[in-house]
Formats: sequence, structure tokens, C-alpha cells
Amino acid sequence: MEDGFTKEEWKMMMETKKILDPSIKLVATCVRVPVMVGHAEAINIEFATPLDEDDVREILRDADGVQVVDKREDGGYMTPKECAGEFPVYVSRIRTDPTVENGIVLWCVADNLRKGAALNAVQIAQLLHERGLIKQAIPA
Amino acid sequence: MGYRVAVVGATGNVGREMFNILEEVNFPVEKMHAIASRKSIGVEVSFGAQILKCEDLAQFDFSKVDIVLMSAGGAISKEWGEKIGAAGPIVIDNSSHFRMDPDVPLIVPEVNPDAVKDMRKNIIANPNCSTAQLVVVLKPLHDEAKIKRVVVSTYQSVSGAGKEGMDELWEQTKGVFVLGAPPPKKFTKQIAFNVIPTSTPSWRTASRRKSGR
Repeated sequence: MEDGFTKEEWKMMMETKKILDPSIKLVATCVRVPVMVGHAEAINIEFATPLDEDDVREILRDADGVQVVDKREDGGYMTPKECAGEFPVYVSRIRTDPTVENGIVLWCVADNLRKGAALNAVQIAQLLHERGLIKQAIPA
Repeated sequence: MGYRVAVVGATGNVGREMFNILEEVNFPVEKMHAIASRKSIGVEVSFGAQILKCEDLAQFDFSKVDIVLMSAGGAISKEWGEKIGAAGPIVIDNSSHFRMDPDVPLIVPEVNPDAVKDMRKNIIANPNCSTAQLVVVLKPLHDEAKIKRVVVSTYQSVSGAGKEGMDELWEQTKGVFVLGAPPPKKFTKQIAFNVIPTSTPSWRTASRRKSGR
């Protein structure tokens, strides 16, 4: 039964389907690097319809929770060290993947203890609060 | 007006960040409780200007709180998650234990906030750290041009493996210049001056249980 994937890789596939869309096919390689805080990801995306790199940059500039830092010069991108303690997911190095029909490659970094864990949990609490879903227990 | 909030796993990497962020975003808190396992009872953690002493998970009366943020690993969530939810408060769980449960929404607020309506156990799951940052980026692009396929490689920091992971990197990095790096414990090979192609040492079908992250 063993297929060679780690649990972490399998979680990324299954959770993406549950959160976003079961039709998305995803394959992951999860690597541990000698960095204290901040996870980075190199992401190749293949779309059903055309979307060029300028469209992607434009869409991500307007997206909730995302910050685009993408200057095509030395240092014009984010690294884990710089995202530690920050809230947004940073996207850099947005470029066309010339090997497929509608492909984009990008780099993304975020504080794994914040957006990856504690911040997302607190944002869920805020969502429940805004929607009036937290029932208050009768004070003792 | 505010809520009575409990953080379970109060002494961990993520628990401590939960206190920091609840404070930073001014979440309406009337009373905050720090909850931990028995070995951490009395350990002090800070929430803004307050110093909280950790209370015992096994003795705490969860019917007195409105919302619980939990990050104490899969085994604790498995044992306590549903019991706490049944006692009244909504549980937001950071472990992997409930994530694929059809009665538990798995939520990233920028992506699928409306999934809250599927909450049937008073529990909401928080995704894996690598998934959370990925779907925040994919969602607005998927809305525009429908994503067919994604290939992703992660470069994950050691804090995702808890405080022991951070200690291991620190001790090995120092050790390399003195007596040689101490042998790996949390990770499967030396992590200092290296990269390891399995961020978690557990294989998909292996029976050995690992932490929620």
C-alpha cells in the first residue's frame, strides 16, 4: 500500500481538495531546511484557460492575505527570514512556465507559526465572532 | 463585552503565538485561560500585559468558556476535542486529527469562510501550515482561470516541528564547530547545514503517529 509519499505531502493534496476544489490535481514534495521560522514553497500552476504573468501579478495584488514583492532585481523577493513575525503570505518571482500551455511558476513565503497556524486559528475565531456564531456560556 | 477564551497547548510554539496574535488583533477577550498538560501546570505564559499560570487540561471545566483554541498535537485533540466541543465551546483545532472529518469544516478564512455552516461537532479544523499559505495564493487564481494541476515543493522551517525541532537545529549548528554535531532526534538526518527530503519522518501508510504539523 505504501506509495512513497509522506503524510505531510498527502495532507497537502487532501486538504487543498477539501478547502478549495476536489477537482484540483496536486503533487507535493515536502522538504525540511535549516531555517528557524518561515516556510517557503516553489509552486507550478497549470490553468484550464489562459492567464499570463501580468494577470497573475494583478490578481494577487488585490487578493486578501497576499502581498506581492516581485522586483526583477537582486533582493527583489521575500525570504523566510523576512516574513517571520508577519501576517501576509508573500509572493515573489511570478513568471510564465514555457513548458506547458497555461502555466505559471511562483515563489511564496509565510510565517508558519502565524498564517500557517496561530494566525489562521485566530482569524477563524474572528470569522465566528463576525457571524455571531460564538454562543456565550451563562456566567458562573 | 468579550468572550471567555482558552488556549490548549499554551506552552508550545503555536500556543504562545496564539496569545500574541489574539492580543495584536484585539480579539474581544473577557477572560483568558492557559491550558496545558499536567507537567506544565503553573508554568507562566504571557497574554499582553497579563501573566497567566497554566491550568490542568484534565481538571479544567470547559463549560465555563465560549471558545477554545487548541494546538497540543493530534493525540490530545483525539482524546479531548469532541469532549470539549460537547461541553459547549467551539473548538478551533490546529492538529491534523479532525481535518478530513466530513462533520468538521477545514477553514482558511480568505478561501472558504462559508464552510462554517458545515460545523456539526462544535469543532473547526485549522489546516497544515504548508496548505494554508498555498491555498491563500491558489484561490484568487482558481476563481479567474480554473486550476487543473499544481506541482509544489516546500522548504519548511524547523519551528513547524515544535520547540524540539528548533533546539535540534541550534545545538547541531553550534556543535559542528566544537565537538561535532549531536546526532538527530526529532529529524531523521542532521538538519544543520543540510536539507532533508521528508519534512516529517512519517510515511503515508506507516502506523507510527506523528504531530499534527
